[in-house]
Amino acid sequence: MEFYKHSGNVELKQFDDENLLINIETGFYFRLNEVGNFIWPLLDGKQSNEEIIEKIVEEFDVQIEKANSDLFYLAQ
Amino acid sequence: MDIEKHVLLQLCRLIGGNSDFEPDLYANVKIDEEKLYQTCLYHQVLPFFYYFRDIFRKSFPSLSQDFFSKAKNYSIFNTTRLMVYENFLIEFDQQVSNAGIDYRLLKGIALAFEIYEEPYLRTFGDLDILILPDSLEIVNELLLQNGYFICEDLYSAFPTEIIKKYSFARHYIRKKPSILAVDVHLNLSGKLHPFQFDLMEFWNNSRDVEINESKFRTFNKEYTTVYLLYHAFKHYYFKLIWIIDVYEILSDDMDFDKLGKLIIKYNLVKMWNVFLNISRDLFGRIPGNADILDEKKYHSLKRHRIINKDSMLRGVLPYSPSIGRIILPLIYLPSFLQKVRYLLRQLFPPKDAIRDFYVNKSIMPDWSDYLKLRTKAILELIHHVK
Repeated sequence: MEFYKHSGNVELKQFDDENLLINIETGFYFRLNEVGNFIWPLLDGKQSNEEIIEKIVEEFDVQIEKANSDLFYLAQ
Repeated sequence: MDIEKHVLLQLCRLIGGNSDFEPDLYANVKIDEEKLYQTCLYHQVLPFFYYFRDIFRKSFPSLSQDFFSKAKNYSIFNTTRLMVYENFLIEFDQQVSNAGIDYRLLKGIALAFEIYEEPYLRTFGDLDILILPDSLEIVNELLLQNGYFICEDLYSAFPTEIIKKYSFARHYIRKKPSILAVDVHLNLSGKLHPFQFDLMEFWNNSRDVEINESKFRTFNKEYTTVYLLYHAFKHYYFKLIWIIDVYEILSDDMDFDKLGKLIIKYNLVKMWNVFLNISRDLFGRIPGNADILDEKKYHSLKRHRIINKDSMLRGVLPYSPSIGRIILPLIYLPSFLQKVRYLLRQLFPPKDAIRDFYVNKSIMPDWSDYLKLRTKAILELIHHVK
């Protein structure tokens, strides 16, 4: 089983109504959309990728492939 | 005054706490948004348009959503930048502490976290740190180890002993993993500058500034104000953000008696009075309990011919920086003797501070070449003045 978890260089920062993922070494940032906001707290290293994908499918009523690609995209 | 300047003036009034605008006054006015955007970048005030977006949307209904989106993006960029600098600063602080070196934070980042409602409002380019001259070699070594290199600029040609002798600042830049710039200062002004400060007085009047959960040393507020006032003057008040810095820090807790004494001690009375004049015109008020000093020499808050609200909003003075460097101190130095001494030093700087001797191997540092270079510089100056 694979586990994604937060990197030490990446911090979540709230900017008004948006959540940003900011790499504090490079300055690159990523604006979280609804799916991203759902996934981010789940990347705690305790829940497997399969469990997270299952939750995404359930929450957003999407195909497994779509949930998998969303998770992979965010984890990158 | 063109409409873009009206918009900037409105911004200043908002910073001054005045939001009573006539809502229909600018209803049908067309704004050149690209010009406004570039002007805001220049003055480093774009994030304020995001912060005050609701008021601006009402006051200037023709401003597009795209403009506010750009202001928001820039504010987010500032937020990420602050986090990157903060991250670097925590590591750097640990390294210099281990090396037994003390330093002070100047300007940008310290002001962003302390005197602005939101840190992202204070756009800044470099991290400015002040060290004691004896620490230069070790700090230089640490920065090089952290991936920084000395930036190619006016002072990069000078050897370390000249940098130390004349208190020139050294500019470092790092390109990976992100572009960061650090300016290392050895004093509050270079030895060839018209206004000199007692470094140890400032150094010993310091306090902690909190940046999120970390603490760093910076000057007490009265001393910071004196430095900001001087810094704005040194750069000919070209950017609004420098005036806003002084306005904001004065609106905070401040011992105005102590500040007044420092301003008089460091010959900044005229600059202070000019600042109050500008503050009244730009922000619609004078901050805190600030008051004019030395009224005998400067009778009233009369508008200054060169440095005034309009030149602030325009962003440039009617002469080049090289001419400004000579003319403004001549206007603002308090005594005739100081003016003469400054003019001579500008026209005939010390031989070992002439940059050409280090960058051009065909020019030898002898008196003959020195006089040739000075003659050339003076002729250029006369040409500019004409």
